[in-house]
Amino acid sequence: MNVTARTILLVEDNEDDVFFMEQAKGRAGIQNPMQVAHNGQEAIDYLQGAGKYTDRSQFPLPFLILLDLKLPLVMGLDVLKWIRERPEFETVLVVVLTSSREDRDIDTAYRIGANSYLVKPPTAQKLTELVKCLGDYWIRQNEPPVHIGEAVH
Amino acid sequence: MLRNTPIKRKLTVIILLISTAVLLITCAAFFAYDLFTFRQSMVAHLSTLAEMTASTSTAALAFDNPKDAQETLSALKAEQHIVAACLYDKDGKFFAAYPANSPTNNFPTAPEPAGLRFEGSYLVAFQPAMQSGGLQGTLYLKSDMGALYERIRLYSLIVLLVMLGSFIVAYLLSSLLQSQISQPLLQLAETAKAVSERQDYSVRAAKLGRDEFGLLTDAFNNMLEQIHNRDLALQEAQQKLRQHADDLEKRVAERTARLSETIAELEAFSYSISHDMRAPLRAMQGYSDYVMENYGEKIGPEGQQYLQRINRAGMRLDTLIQDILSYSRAARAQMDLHPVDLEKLLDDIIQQYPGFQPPQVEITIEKPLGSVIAHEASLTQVISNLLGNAIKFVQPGQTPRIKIRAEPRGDDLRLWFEDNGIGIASKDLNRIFAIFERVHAERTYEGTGIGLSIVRKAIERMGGQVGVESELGKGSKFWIQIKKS
Repeated sequence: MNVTARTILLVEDNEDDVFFMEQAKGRAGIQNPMQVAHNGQEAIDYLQGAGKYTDRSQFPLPFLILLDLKLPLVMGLDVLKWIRERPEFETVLVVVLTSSREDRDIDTAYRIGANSYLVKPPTAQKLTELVKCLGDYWIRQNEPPVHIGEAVH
Repeated sequence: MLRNTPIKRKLTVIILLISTAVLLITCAAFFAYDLFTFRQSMVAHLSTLAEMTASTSTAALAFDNPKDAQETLSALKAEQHIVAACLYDKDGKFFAAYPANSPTNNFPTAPEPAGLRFEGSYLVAFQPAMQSGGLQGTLYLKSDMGALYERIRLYSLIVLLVMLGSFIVAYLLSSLLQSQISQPLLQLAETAKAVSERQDYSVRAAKLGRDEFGLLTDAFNNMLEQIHNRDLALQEAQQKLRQHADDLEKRVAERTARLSETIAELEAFSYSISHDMRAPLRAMQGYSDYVMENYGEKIGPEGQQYLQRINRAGMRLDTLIQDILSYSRAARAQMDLHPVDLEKLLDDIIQQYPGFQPPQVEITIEKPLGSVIAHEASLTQVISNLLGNAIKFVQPGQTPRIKIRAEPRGDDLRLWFEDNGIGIASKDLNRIFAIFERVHAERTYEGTGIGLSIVRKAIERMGGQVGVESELGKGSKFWIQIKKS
């Protein structure tokens, strides 16, 4: 499948940050569709195809998850743990995108299986630069995982 | 040899030895005295017998009648101890013998001078027989010492019996009486043993009399009393000490709990700052960026300028939050200390930040610098802050120049950062390391007033020191000092 057609899932509770991400994605020239989960539980539901996310043609499995850490209901690190505990999601790319530069958060995120850890920049311009880099690396340069949502037997 | 025997036996043995010795000496003395007097009386008896026999024999001698003389001598039969007797005439010739037909060679061949003497185990006497001033002959008497030996045998038996009897009596008496001495001693020993074995200072030795042992017992009991009192006082003091230690421990535990609570709160606080306070800030800046971009033309130059001010204020707030977080990280992060090569660290820092490279700044490093024991991440932050300050605080238009050199100081290494900046007035030198202290107006030199407090906090947490020498207009010399590796 064409990489640019694959879905990105943004897990973000702050509407402003969702707005900025959408804007930045447009400016960075990233074509991939982006779905948004507004809290940790929604992210889990989305990946499971539960509740309103049962229709996979409307809500396809993402190849890249942009994950905030401070989230309502289920915290970001718990979502990450949940993802990594499931064999079918072992291959999905998870990039943490958060405000925190705390050593504790960074170390824990990597330990439980984050692929990258990015800190949200303070201005729209810097965010655009960051998202451009993100696209360049994870979508254009990097070979993303081929199979997602299938456990290896 | 008595040293290790119990005192009871020791006393008995001593008493028996003494009484036996005394008895022996007494008996020996009596014995000697009695033998002496007995011998004397034997001599006197023989002498009398000799005189009497001699005088009764004079007639027979005078008339030269050996038969009469023989008869006279045979009267000696009554005297058991006379074993032999004879008479010599006045010319010294053998005249008559007793017993009657003993051979003549049983007797001395001639009379000897008058007198008594002991010959072997016999007592012999020569007695002249005189009549009206003329010598008629000489009598010879020989007596055995049987009486004396009998006496000795009898005496020895008596001494033996007396000794045996007195030994038994002495033994019984000493067994009965030694307890007068041994009893109090044994009791004292018993008490001392009880004290040392059970550590029980409340026991007392019973007093058995008012003699020296009584005094000793009193002194001993008195001593025990004192020890007992001291022991009680000691126990009380120990109890108090323990109580005190417990209290202290409890208080420390309480305070530690409170402190960790505070630390936990602080951590939650800084976590919250890190996550929550930046979100609205990002929104402010983000939206002002978009307003500027999408509606800039509509709001005109003045509106644009306000937007820029909002943006700059947001940037400052973001820097401030970052610095506070850095400070709190320096204050509470775990400082694992390892050897750090200073030259390599400085090269890395300068490599990483274009702001630390020419033409922005000229940095000279006087090599070699050596290595220190430090927390590398914190030391990196410290050096970056010092370099950043040196670059920031220069006269406008001037190129900052920084010289870095190391100075060994005992076990420590002092790292100097000498700049050509604006310097610090001596009145401000004391406060520049304090948090939020700023010497310059925000307008001239931007900053949060936290950079140097991070430097000091981090270095102090590594067990080091920081300092500065400066004069207004003549540049500053900052130094940090930590352990050499």
